[in-house]
Order: sequence, then structure tokens, then C-alpha cells
Amino acid sequence: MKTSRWAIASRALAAVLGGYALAAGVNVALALALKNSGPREDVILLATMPAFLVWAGAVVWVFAARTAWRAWAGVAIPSAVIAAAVWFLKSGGAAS
Amino acid sequence: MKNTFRLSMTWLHTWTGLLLGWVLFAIFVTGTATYFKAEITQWMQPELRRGDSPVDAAAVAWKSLEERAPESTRWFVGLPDDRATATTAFWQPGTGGKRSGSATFDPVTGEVVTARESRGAEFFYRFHFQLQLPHPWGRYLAGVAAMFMFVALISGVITHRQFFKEFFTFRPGRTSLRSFLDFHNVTAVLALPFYFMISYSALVIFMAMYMPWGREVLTDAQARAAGAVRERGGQSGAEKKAGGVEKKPWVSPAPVGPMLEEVARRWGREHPTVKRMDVTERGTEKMVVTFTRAEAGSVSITQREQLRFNGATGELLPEEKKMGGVATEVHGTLYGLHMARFAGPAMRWTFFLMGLFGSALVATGLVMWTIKRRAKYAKAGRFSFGHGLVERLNIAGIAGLFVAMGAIFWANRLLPVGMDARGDWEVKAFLYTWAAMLAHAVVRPVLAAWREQLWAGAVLFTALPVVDAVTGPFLARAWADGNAAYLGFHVTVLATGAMLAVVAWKVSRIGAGRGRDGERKADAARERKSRPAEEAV
Repeated sequence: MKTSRWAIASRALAAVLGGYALAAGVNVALALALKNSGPREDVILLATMPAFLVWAGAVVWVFAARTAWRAWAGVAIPSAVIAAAVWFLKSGGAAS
Repeated sequence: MKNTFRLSMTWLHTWTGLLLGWVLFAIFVTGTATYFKAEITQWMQPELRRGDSPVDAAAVAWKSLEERAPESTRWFVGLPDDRATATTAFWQPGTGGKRSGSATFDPVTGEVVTARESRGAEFFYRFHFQLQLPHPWGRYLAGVAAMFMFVALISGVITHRQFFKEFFTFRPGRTSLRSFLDFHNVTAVLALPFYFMISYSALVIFMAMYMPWGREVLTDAQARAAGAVRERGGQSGAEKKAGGVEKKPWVSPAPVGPMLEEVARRWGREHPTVKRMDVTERGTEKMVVTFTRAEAGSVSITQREQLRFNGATGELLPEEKKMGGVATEVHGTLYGLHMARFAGPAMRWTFFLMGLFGSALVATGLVMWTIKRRAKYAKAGRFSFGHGLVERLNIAGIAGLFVAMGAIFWANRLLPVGMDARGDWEVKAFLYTWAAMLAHAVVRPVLAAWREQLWAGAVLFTALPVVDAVTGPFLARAWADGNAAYLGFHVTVLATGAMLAVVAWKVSRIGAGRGRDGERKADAARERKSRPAEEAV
């Protein structure tokens, strides 16, 4: 059951950096989406607390995925979707 | 990663547990001690007197601060209670630009205390989340460790699903690996919700440092909105400032006496009553004096019972409306649970025990990693640097930490009371002892190093009451006064010493002459045959 060092390094990168990027994206998207739903401090807390759960979930996904390809895709695709949502909220959605 | 989801999670559990295991262990042990921060500090500064009434202590502190920090605009004062002796004060500079400062006052006389200089349990508290590293790196490392722990918990629950089925099997002495695994299992299951709470809340407490992006983006949006207002002819703060700083006239504060009378009338004069007195915007119309009640009876840090007075007129202000929504409550509750400041004695002991279980959980995991792999290297007859490193770090990180903690308590009693930078020397005693334990773990054979360091820890902790009795009158006085906090400290160090002695004795038996390594190899082989599922722990 030896896994090559490169494979482990690649997944660790996906888990640590990719997972963090995804969590940060969710953090920003939630903050923008909930901007008008309450006091600012409350919104920040509401947007930040789940981010760590997203990160932990991403780490589990990355190391559970069958192939390195799927591991990366599982982080990259949601990150892209979130980035698009952030862009939309910042430009169109921010007019509210 | 591996063939099945569970094996992948086993791999993840193994490595997230190992990589920062020693950091986690140190964080867990110092954090567990911090649940009794006030009591430990009281023992480390035994000259302090508690005084009978926190209300009187507040009046005394007010007077001392008027002398010491007359121009300061903010005062923060912690008052003595049945756990802590002294009054601790911290103040921020005033308009005069004087430096902020802090002091510990005698609750009765208001003099700056003449107790031995010691950081007390403040050292353990700071170490718990800063690890003696330069700011902000200690907090980042602690955050990374918390994240590792969180992931190790999730993957550990998946790995050890049978634990929940086999919870009532503890097979001491069958084989070392089995009993370690059983112990790992018992400590894991007993306090699992606590571990999830403690690691997740650790991340949440410093989340402004770890995950600032949501805050950033909203601040940007606000700054933009403010800019738009400015373009429409509003005036920005920056422009106001450019017009020259106006020095506002000093508004003298109202006397504190009537405020304290009101506090005493509502909450009583004796313990437990008021715990904090905080002053903001001192010397302005907007000055507020806030009193916070001890044992607020609420878990959340945002839900404390308070009385607020207008500091310029002395009148009682209406209760503050809690602005926060659900998220603020959840956050406050998580923060409150982590710190357990709401806890009464029984609850505090429960948290303390769960902290000890957590420490044991980390320690058994670390040791199992080496036992699992030892047979493999022994069979191959080759030395592995990585395995040797983990063996040695386990000894210094687990047993050595207790020796270092014993050393800080001994230094507290043995260093001359009037010595310069005494508090720093206590901390040095801790760090140098720990470094010495690392060196010792490297040069001695593995089992001998374990045995010697565990015995050293056992002796340091068990003999501490003797050292205390010989070096001063404090133990006798605490006994006469029935000072529960002080005596409780002694009971706890004796129990810790006994625990270390039991483990040391067990290790001594492993090393008792019989070729245990060979036996262990046979055990490991049997284990593997009988339980293929545990293969990859």
C-alpha cells in the first residue's frame, strides 16, 4: 500500500492550499450574500464560522478521492463556482 | 488515496495526528492547567490576601488607579473571588500619550502587591495559544494544530468506528498495543463532543486572524459606501482630523462610592458578587463604568449580567440591548465553552478531566505510532531515522513536558523572593528543563529514557507539597484557613505525581529484563492475524 511521495505532496497541497482557498471563497461569498440580513458583526460571524467546516470537508475529500485528478477537481470546481458567485455578488448583487 | 474510504481516513488520521502531535499535547496539557489558572496563580503568589469584599476591593482599586493612571481613558479591573486573590488592573494611555500599564493590587490596602514576582498560570495560558513564539507565529501554529486536530477527529471517528461498539472492552496488560489502543478508545469515546467543541472553538476564537476575508470584503464595501457619501458632499473622518485634533476639556468622573453601594445592594457585598470593573471613555461626557457579576450563570461570554453607570453623572444606565443575532450567540457560546469561565467547581473539574483525557488521547496515539512500526524495523534489522525521531520526541514531548512543568513550580518556591526578573527565570526553568529532557531522550536508550523522565516527573510533583511546607508558612496557613483553592492545588499535583508514578512503574515492568521486544513482535504478528481491520492504525 505504498503511495508515492509526489502523490502525497500533491494531495497535501490540494488539501491545505486548495481547501483553504475554497473556505476563504465561501467566507467571502457568504459575507456578501448575507450583507443586508443583520448587524455587520453578526454577518461576519455567520459567514466565517462555517468556513472551517468547509476546509475540513475539503481535506477529507482530497484524501478520500480515488485519483489525484478527482482530488484536485473536487476542490477546484467548487472554488470556481464560488469565485463566480463572488464576482456576481460584487458587481451585480452589490447594487442592493 | 487508498483502496477504501476507511483506509484513506485511517491514513489521514495517522498523519494529522502525528505531524503536530507534540504541539497538540503541549497545548492540551497547558490548556487543561489553565482551567485552574486562578488557583495555580494563587499558589504561585501565596503572599496575596483575598480580602473579604470585592466591592471594597473595587473602591480601593479605583483610588489606586486615580493615583497611578490619572490621565488614562480606559481601565480594566479584575477583582478577587474565591479562586483568585489579587486585584489585577490594566490601563490604556490617556491623551497625554503615556504608556499603558498594568499592576496587581492588594485588595485591602490598594498597594501594588509585594508578592514574589511570578507569571503564575498566566504562563500556561499564554503558552497554550502562543507557544512562546514571536507574535503572530505562535497563534498561527496553534491554529494549524487546532485544524489538524479537527481533521484527525473526523478521520479518527471514521477509522475507529468499532470503538463505539467496543467501548466497554478494556484489556489491560494483554499486549502493549492492545491496551494502548483500548485506552486510546476509552479516552476518545468518553469526551468526543468535548474534543470537537474544543478544536472547533479554538479556530473560531481567533478566526479574525485565520479567516479574515469575509470581514475584509464587507469593510471594502463599507469603505466604498462611505466614499460615495463623501462625493455627495459629506465630510469624512479623515477631513475632520485634518482640521486639527481638538483637545476636549477634561470632565471629572463622578465618585465611585454611590455606584458601588448600588452594586452591593443588588448583588451583595461578599463573594460571589462583582468580578470586573471596567471604565471606558474616562474623562469625557460619554464615560461609562461597567460592573460585571461573578458567575453570571450563562455559558456565552456575551450574556453576562452587568450594571452600567454614566461615569460623568454617576447615574445607572438602562440595560444594554444585545445587538447580536443568532451568530453572535453561537460564537459567544463557543468562546464561553472553550474558556469555561462560567463553570462552577463541579463543571470545572469535569472540563479539567476531559482535558486530561484529551492529553492522554494524543499521547497514546503518538506512542501507538511507534509501537506499530517498531516490530517492522526490528524484523528488517535496520534503523529508521524517522522512527527514531518520533520515539525521542515522544519521550521529551510527553514525559519531558511534565518534568518541565514540575520545574516551573519548584523554581517558584526555590528562587530567592527578591530576585530580579524572577518571573522570567521561572519560565527559563521550564524551557531549559524541557530542552534538557530532549537531550536526555536522545542520548539514553528508549525505555530507560521513558522510565527516568517519568520518575523524575513523579518525584517533582509528589514532593511539591514538601517543598512548599519547607520554604514558607503558606501551606500551614492555607490548612488553618481551609483555603480550598490552595489545598486543591496540592491534591491535584499529588494526583498528577501518582499518575506519572503508575505509568513509570508500568514502563519499568516492560523493561524488566525479559526480551520484551521479541515478545512484542510476536504479539504484533498475532494481532495482525486476528484483526486485519486494525492493520493500518
